[in-house]
Amino acid sequence: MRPKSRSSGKTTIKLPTPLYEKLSALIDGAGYNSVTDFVVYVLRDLVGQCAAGAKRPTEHEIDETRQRLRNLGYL
Amino acid sequence: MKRVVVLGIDGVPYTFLKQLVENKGLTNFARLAESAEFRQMDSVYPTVSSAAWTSFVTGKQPGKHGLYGFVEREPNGYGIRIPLSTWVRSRTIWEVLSDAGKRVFGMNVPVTYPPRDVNGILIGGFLCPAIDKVAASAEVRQYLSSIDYQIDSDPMLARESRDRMLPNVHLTLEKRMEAMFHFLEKEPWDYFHTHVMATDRLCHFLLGSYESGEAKYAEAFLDFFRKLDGYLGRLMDALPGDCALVVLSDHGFCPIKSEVQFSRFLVEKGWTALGAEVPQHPLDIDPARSRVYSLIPGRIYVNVRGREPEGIVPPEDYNQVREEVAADVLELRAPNGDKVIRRVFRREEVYWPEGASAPAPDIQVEELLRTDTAFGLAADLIAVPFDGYDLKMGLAQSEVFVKTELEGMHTYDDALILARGVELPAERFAIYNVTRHVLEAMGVRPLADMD
Repeated sequence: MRPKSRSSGKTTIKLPTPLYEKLSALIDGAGYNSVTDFVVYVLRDLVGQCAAGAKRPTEHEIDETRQRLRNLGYL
Repeated sequence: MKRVVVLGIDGVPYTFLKQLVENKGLTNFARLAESAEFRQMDSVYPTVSSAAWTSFVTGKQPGKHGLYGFVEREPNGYGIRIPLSTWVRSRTIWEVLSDAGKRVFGMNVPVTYPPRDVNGILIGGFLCPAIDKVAASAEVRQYLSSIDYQIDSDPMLARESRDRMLPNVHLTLEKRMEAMFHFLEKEPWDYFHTHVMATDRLCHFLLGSYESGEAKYAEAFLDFFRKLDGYLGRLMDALPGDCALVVLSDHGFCPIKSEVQFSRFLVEKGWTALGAEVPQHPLDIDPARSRVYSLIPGRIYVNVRGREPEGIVPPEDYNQVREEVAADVLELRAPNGDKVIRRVFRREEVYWPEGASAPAPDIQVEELLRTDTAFGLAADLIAVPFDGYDLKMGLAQSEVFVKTELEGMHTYDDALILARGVELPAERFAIYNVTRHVLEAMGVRPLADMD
């Protein structure tokens, strides 16, 4: 079930206040506009990692990419 | 509100294209230039496509998004790793537009692998190792496989011979364009962004031949641009009249006089010590005897105690070491006596985010050495060479100055943009200043910290 305020394309979730405060201190000066921005960033990263099809490279593939970068003169 | 199509033509210099537009060598670029603003713009430091395109898609200078090269330091060791899209510490234009309910498309833009979650389709750039990982949607992957889509041309062929390279860059362009027209027609979109990398590859391996007028390859070089011009014409004809069109490059190019093995230079000057007689990887240094080390191109890191895993420079000496190494680097001279380094920037001169807690000259060392920010991932010094001197790493090389198959190197101040339906800044601007104007043309508010 989804909480309200779908009209803005946003949904509210609740964090424990001590966690919110720790996050707030953690991101101080780190370039995020708010704790919300930071949490959305982290969760998007997580979703990206879990997304079907968006597979990570294998060790062999990383070696191949390095070779490509070497041939391009970027490594 | 407008829809926008963006075509990235990696590394195409403004001065080169302007000349061809004026000579009427490229009729469709000339046609677009008649109805568009055609401007020269700046890239980013260091001038590499990973940092520059990430600056375009985030609308921010690198100090805010944290991507500075095609290789980055490992966080807890003296090793290197290749950047992933998930390292970009900002929302991208595709995500900002997705949040606003717009439908987006992106194909082959550097550092978009693995594809992040958007309202639409993202197809990863050339650091993606295989078609079966290039997009989140199985249907998209199947389509790309079915047309023999090429993620990138093969630079190994270019190292072997230019004759072997040419058919391969043409094939890569043909397949990219085939996919572009397919998705342009079949998919719903508000923002449609396609990237052509082959222009960069061509300039890396053929620019010197073109500039020197070497008959066979100069003509082959122009042929490629004529083909691209044909695709641009087809694209312009396919777009509805109210659709904005932006064609841009991320840096310019100039011919290489010499490659410069910059890490080797730092070894010779005693700043960096090798970890083994024959280094086993590009950062195989001895941390106990290295005050600084370097990553390509011209990124210098101070081996600071407490910040680096085995740092030896006390934080109170940080600025002194930076001054001394910068002075040495500025004295680097080519065998013909040319000065090699035009300028050495301190990281805060180019990356300190506007609106951060202190203006650049007053930043305390503790603040400069923080590692938990996008800014903190930057090199401590950024050496910028004169045109013609291409900075490489070369820890294992025996010579500082070498010449290889590479003929062209990136330049900072000769990127280009052709914008029709998107207003550009009045004054001189850089690639990261364009993004907010694209969003505004689409009726979407830019992020507060976009440049």
